[in-house]
Amino acid sequence: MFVAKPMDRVSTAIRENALAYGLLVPLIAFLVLMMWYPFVKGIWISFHHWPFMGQKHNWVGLDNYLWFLKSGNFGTSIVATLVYIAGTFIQLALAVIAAVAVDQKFVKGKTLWHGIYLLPYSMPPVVTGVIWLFLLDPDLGMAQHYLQQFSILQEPVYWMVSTWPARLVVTWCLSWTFWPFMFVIIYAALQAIPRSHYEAAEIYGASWWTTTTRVVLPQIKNSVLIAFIVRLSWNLSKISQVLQMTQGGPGYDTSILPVFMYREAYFSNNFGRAYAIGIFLLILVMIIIAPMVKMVHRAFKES
Amino acid sequence: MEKKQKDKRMIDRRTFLKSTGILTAAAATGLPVLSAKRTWAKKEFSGVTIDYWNQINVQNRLVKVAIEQAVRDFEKESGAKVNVSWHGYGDIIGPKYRTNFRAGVRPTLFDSDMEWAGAIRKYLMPFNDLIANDLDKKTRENIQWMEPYLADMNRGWPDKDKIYSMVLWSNICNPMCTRVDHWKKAGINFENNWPIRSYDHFIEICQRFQKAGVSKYPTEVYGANFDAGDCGLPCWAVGKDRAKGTFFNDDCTDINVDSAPWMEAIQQYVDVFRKYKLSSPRSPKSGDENAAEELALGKKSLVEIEYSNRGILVDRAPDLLKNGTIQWGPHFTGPSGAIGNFHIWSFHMVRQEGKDAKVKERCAWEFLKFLLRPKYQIAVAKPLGSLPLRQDTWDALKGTPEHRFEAHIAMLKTKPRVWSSHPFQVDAQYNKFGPRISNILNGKDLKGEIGRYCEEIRSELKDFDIKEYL
Repeated sequence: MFVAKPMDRVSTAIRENALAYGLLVPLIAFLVLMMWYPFVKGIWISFHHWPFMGQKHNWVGLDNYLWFLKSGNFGTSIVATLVYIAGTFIQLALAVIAAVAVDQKFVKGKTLWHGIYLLPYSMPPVVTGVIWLFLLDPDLGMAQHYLQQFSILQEPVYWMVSTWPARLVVTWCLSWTFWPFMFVIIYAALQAIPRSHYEAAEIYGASWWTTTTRVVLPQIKNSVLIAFIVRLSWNLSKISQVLQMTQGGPGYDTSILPVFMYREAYFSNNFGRAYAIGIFLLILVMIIIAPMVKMVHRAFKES
Repeated sequence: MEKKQKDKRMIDRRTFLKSTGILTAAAATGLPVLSAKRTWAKKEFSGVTIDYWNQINVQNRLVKVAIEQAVRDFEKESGAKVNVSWHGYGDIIGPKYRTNFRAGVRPTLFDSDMEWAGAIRKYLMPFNDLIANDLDKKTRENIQWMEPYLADMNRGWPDKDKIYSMVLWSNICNPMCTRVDHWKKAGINFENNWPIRSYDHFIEICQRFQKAGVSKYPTEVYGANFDAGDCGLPCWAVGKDRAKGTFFNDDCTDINVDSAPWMEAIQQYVDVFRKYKLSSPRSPKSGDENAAEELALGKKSLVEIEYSNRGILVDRAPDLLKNGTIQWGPHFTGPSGAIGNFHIWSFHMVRQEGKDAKVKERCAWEFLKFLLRPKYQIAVAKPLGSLPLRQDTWDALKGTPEHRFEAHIAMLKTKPRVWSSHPFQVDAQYNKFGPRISNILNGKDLKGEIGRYCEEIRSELKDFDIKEYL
């Protein structure tokens, strides 16, 4: 019996699908040049002393990784990063509540609500950062003024000075700026639920709560998961507000891993250490996202 | 031994004298094209455009106005076009300049603090020949006082005789600034107690302000990344010890911050906030801009702020400056007798490429010479509050009710140190030092934080090769 050699099979497959492979070439080239090559080079750099302005790059093995683990900032940064990531849950909660609320039949002026909700997302993060810095300023801020006027606070709170208040403020500010992204996706998913499903639930006498939990949420679950994963990974690249509001401080208390990475690369000129921090970030993101990606796959299979 | 070290720190005197023209005759042959002739014909630079990145404007709108006027005058006189871009300190301390320079986006000249330009030194032109051969005798005589400070700034560099920074104005960090009306309200005799004599005297006066209810937090210590290592604390350390009070040792091979003078200075600094409660709850994140603002508003009584913050005072309390209610004085010192560190505002010329490179470089140099004229030295120094390079302009600046130039000159007499332009200075001084001071102000252990800081800097210095930056 004639059995084609593996190379023949490959060349036949390429010949028969030449157009398809041809169309894939630009995308693959883009991925290789713009993503995979820098990624692999980044790993390579993380094993070197690699000054930004210098020419000599000395192999240092695991020194850059060990430096970060031993610097005393590793734990602080991991905690800051996890708190910052928790902002994704705040964004999700705000988005689900707002989307479900606006989707109710009795709500008038839906377009106006959309506009209001989208406002924070339409502004540059640095602008929203300035707004919140001003609102929370202990001397000039409106929030502080009213909290004291209504005797909720006796003394102004210096939010950016202490560890946990500073972490909460940057996390809240991130959540407030980016929750509309999730709102748009979840609201679009809600719109895709056929009206007949609501009507059927109504006919069977389902309460608002039962309709929401048994009809609505199962149908928007996939969108919610995808929006959550995307937002979570994007949140970790949003460092402009942290840099602007706290510069990673007080001390290193709001120095999330990407902020550390940025500081090492561009202030300390040490790309080797910056990429080592990047690898820690990658591992952390993978640990968090991997189960979610699995959930998405399972949900798609089920649907 | 000490003398030998001191001599090592200085630019070789002969080299400097040569640069400043005393040996001009010997250097008169073989001059580079750039410095060949110096009587500039009117409109010599018609059609020439130079790019000037300006940072000196950043904290003071009146300085921006003065620079704009100088640029207009230069354009009118020379026929050149000067494209000014307004920048901030973060641009050179952070990545902007380095990434742009590396990518080939470079101006013809820029101004910045001298110490910040070390990382991009390889792109800069030395001024030695230009100073030696292209400045008139009077100008050279009037700028010679800067010699030891340039030498101090160049420590750690193998080519320490090269001058890459053309100083035009300078500040010493930091003077004290006070509200005279607060002294009266607190019943303290201003004439007998000003300027502040020592740390204990400083604490005593601040406590008296506080007890009298004049200001809740009479002073401020700074924990912000930028200001912790820049505005206050390093001045205290130099006051303890001239040699060990700087961030780096004399050849920049080691960090000094875990030395006894530094540790004592940091402890005293932190005590102002934690022990004596004389500084606001904002301290772990505060900077001297806040302090200047609060001084103008009457919330503070006695602060150490940079001269560059005069812009804030001019905006918020111009009358208090004019009538002498706000006054400057020299900072107190310690056993070393020295006060503070020089912040030297300098111009840097960037090597140009292309066919019009030489004419652009020459035009940039002429612009710097233009700014060295007494008229412009004074015009910028007045709003800036800084000391002009030309010594013959100093008398014209004295005598204001706020006494800022007198304070400056008094501090200068103590022979302050200069921060090194070593490429690692910025990281050690701002990026790594600030967070540690902020932590200590928030109650973390001084020895532990400074120990980790020094360990980190030493590990960086171990792999560091300054020749990479030449």
